[in-house]
Amino acid sequence: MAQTTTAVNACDAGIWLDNGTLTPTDIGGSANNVDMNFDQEIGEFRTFGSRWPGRLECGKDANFTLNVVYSSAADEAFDILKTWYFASSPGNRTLSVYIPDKNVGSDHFQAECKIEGLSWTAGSDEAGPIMVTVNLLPDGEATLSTLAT
Amino acid sequence: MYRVLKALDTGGGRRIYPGSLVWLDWLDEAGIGILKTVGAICEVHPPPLSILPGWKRRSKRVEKLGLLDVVAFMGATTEMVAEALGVKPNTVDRWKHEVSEWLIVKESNNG
Repeated sequence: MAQTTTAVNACDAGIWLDNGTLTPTDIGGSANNVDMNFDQEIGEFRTFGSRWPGRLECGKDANFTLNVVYSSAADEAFDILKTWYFASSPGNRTLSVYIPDKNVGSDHFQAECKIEGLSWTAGSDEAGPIMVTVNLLPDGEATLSTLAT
Repeated sequence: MYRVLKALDTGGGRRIYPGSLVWLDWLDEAGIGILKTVGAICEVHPPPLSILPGWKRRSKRVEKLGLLDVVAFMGATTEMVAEALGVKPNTVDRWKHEVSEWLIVKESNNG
């Protein structure tokens, strides 16, 4: 088969997260990485006389890890995330990732997420910005659609 | 008219699910072309109404309104068709639902 001519990178990917008023907010300007993992539970069995296992499908799950810049401005990624975590009832926020960008035809991955944790290292000898890692877990289905607007 | 093959996000939390029929009138030709290229939609090739089961006589009435094929009929406003044919709008909606079930999907040329 001929080599694909439609490979994409994530240079212009869109990352949006609900802020404190549950308004979708573009946090791409203060984020530089998102790990997206989608899993399915598979059960295996093998019976007498068979060499190959049978497999059954069960539940699905996903998890998302964002790398964001520790910044000071309101409504940037870190401000939204730290306020979310330290709220008395953090609750769910909608995470949307658009690949390769936020234009018609792009893949739109979306989930209502709970914030599992924030972590970073503050080093006295590091001149670069503090990078914060955030783990989000979907509450319910993670969906895929094609952007048509 | 297009058939949705992959769920479409139309903004504001709204989705159009696979199997639905849409006009995509909010998109320009370039946008529609992109959705076709990524396999999210395909064109619907409309048959004449007269070949649909149960539509031999009814199609003659509808064709007098200038609605010669399925897409034209589906695109006409329910109220206009109902008033012109002397039927209830509910009846026209039921006809449209019946017709939409018969729409043919063109197969992709990309193999």
